Amino acid sequence: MSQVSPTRSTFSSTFQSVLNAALERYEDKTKYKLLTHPLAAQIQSCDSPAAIHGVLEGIVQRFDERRRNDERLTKWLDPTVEVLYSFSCAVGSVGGLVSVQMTASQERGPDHPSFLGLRAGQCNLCRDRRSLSGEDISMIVLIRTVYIGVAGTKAAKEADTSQDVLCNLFVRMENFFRRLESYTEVPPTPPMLDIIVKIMVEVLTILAIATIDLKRRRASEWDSWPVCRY
Amino acid sequence: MRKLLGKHEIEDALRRLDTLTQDEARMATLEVLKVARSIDNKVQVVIEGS
Repeated sequence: MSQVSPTRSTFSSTFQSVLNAALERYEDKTKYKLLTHPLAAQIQSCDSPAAIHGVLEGIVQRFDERRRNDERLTKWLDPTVEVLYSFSCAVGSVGGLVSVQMTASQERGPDHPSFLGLRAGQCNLCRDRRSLSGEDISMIVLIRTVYIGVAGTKAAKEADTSQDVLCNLFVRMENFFRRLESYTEVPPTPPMLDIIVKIMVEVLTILAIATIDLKRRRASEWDSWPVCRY
Repeated sequence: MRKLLGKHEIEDALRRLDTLTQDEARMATLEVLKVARSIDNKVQVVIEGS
């Protein structure tokens, strides 16, 4: 009756391949390589959630004065940083570096249900011959979320209702990240893991779609902000 | 949402996310049920053995 839960190391490596697949889909959609993001190195050097928060807050405040007045959009930042940081520690400490050459399809098989819809594009990252850790990926997700938050707020200046929807979107993501934290503490069973994979892909997809649209709307002043290039 | 992010694509993605979240909740409930059943069986064995 009872199912054998995967070990933490199995969980970690599975999660990394899952995130790699999601990242491939992001790149396929946006044509941008998040691994080369200029903020990535800066955030990687942070050794605590508070340090990461400091870096991000500095960018946010520099970017948009109005945003300071809307605490709804900053409220999600703290827990999201906390959760992603602990997630990255949990995954990173066990799994170590995982080569992006080991694609999801190679590891789990191309017909694995977790990767339905992810097979269209080959892994462009494979050509980079770089390694990608769980830590990298969680930070990338964080950067993407912050970018959408800041840029989206800017775009939403004309309509408060749009801002409400944006807040709603962040609440959903924050909730997912909180659950993700629980799954790192209690490794999920394979069927549960499949669902988590699909959700992670969907979250990244939403970020990708939002990025593309915001890029279209981007004002020329945004060019001075490094994150906007992605 | 359309005004902010444009198009129906994001709405579709959010809808899929909602569906997946519901599936996740159902799956979690099922897992809890399995664990509860497993514990129940083990407790039963202990009771019968004593």
